[in-house]
Amino acid sequence: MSAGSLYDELQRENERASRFLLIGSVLIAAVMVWVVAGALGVPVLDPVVGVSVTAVGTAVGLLFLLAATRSGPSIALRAARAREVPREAAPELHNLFDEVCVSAGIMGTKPKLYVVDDPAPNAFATGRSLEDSHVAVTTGLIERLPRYELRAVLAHEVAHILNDDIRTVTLAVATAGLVALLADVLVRFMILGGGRRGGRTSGGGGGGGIAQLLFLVLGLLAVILAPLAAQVIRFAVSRQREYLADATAADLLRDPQSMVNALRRIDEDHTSLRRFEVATAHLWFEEPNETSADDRASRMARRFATHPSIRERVERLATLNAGTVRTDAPLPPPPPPESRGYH
Amino acid sequence: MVWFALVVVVLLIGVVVWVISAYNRLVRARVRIDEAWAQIDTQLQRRHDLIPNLVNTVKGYAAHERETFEEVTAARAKAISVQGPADLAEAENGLTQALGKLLAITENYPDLKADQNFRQLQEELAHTENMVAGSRGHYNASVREYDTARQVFPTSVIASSFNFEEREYFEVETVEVRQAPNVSFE
Repeated sequence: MSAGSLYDELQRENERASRFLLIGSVLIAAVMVWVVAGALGVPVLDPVVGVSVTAVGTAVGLLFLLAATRSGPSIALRAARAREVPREAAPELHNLFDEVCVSAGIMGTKPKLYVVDDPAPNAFATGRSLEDSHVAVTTGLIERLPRYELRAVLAHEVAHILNDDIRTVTLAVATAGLVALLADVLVRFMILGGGRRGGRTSGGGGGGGIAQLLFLVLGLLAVILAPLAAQVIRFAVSRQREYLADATAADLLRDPQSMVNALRRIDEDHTSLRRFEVATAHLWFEEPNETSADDRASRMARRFATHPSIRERVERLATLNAGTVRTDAPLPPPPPPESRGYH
Repeated sequence: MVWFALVVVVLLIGVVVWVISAYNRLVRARVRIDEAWAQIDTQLQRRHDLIPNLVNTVKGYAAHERETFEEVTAARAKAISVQGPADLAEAENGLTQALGKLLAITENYPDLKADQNFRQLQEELAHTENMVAGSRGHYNASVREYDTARQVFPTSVIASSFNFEEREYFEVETVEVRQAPNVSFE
């Protein structure tokens, strides 16, 4: 298989994953709405009532998702404490960013550039569309990476924007939030409403009691399973996207070696981000918390990681660019301190 | 009979809609090429603007390398005067080679290499070369996309009947102006 077709295959996989995410989250939301309505005493076993209540509930949920997608990027930027960085404060960083944007042909709609004060080398992209997109890098990344590796990481983030990952990831985060909210409603109802209902059933029919029991069980199942399902969808989607963004970035700059070097250098660095929200974990260039150790906690963390291991990413890149990249050469030295003109 | 007419009308509308969308797709691809070309122009302009400054700085330390300066200046003048992708690519190649020679000379002057102004110019030049390379890569990618749309059936029918002409690629050699990484082999 040639590198080109492998790349196309990755892109198709990406589109499939997007559809999977959208359909999966709508389904989960619909089932949750159905169970919540049932637990609230709505006769959802009746087909007409059940379908219409579920449809209306799901529509409301989708509207919520839409609203959440609108405010998601600014929340993510605030959570990371990202500051917009003017050209005068970091001329070389802006130079590199311009090189990436000109290669991508998006000089007219350049994303905004931000800096996060954090010693861990990392970066993320967010936004609703190309016109409203944001790229943030940590001070650790600026200080530790040589010029062309820093550029490769910037290209990886721009690739997330070009591949429309930023919108999908924002949607995934919002879905996980919606499902958590519905599960929360269920839990509250079962704790508060359970007692009252017990008093009512003694006077009511036996059929109502069975339905109540059914929804109690279904509710419990939903509370346990739905957030898990939402997580699985999130992870399945975001891991695939990292490979594609690496490949797109290497292709944009025609410089796969720098991408490989950047990944290897960041892999050797074991600083964890000081501040990050679990909800925004898969926005980052590298898994934000350190999971490479061999203790039990790290192994568990790797299983639930939002990012594939860096070694795996390097190997995939090397396969895509067979013969042109080296994965064992010594890394070029890091830049001298203070050389970036940014502090 | 009425049904038959209806089917024909629907089919006709379908064909018209398809023709319009295919035509628009080609136009958009062509506009993208023009935009990419304008971007190359901007970046080359920037490169040309940088050269007098660079030559003057080097002159301050290596005045007797007159031949090289003249070569760079002449190559720059030629690059500014020509037009069209093929000629421009050739002229820019000449300029690239002359610049390479100039940069090679600077290696012999440690004082020059330590000059703050020169080091800033070096970063500027490296950045400019990367901008040129990046805009060229995007231009060529845009031409490839347009070319594919132009040649693939059935869009090719629209392309040939509305005279969507072939566009030239912009091919140049590149000079390695990256600051050489200090790789040590212990």
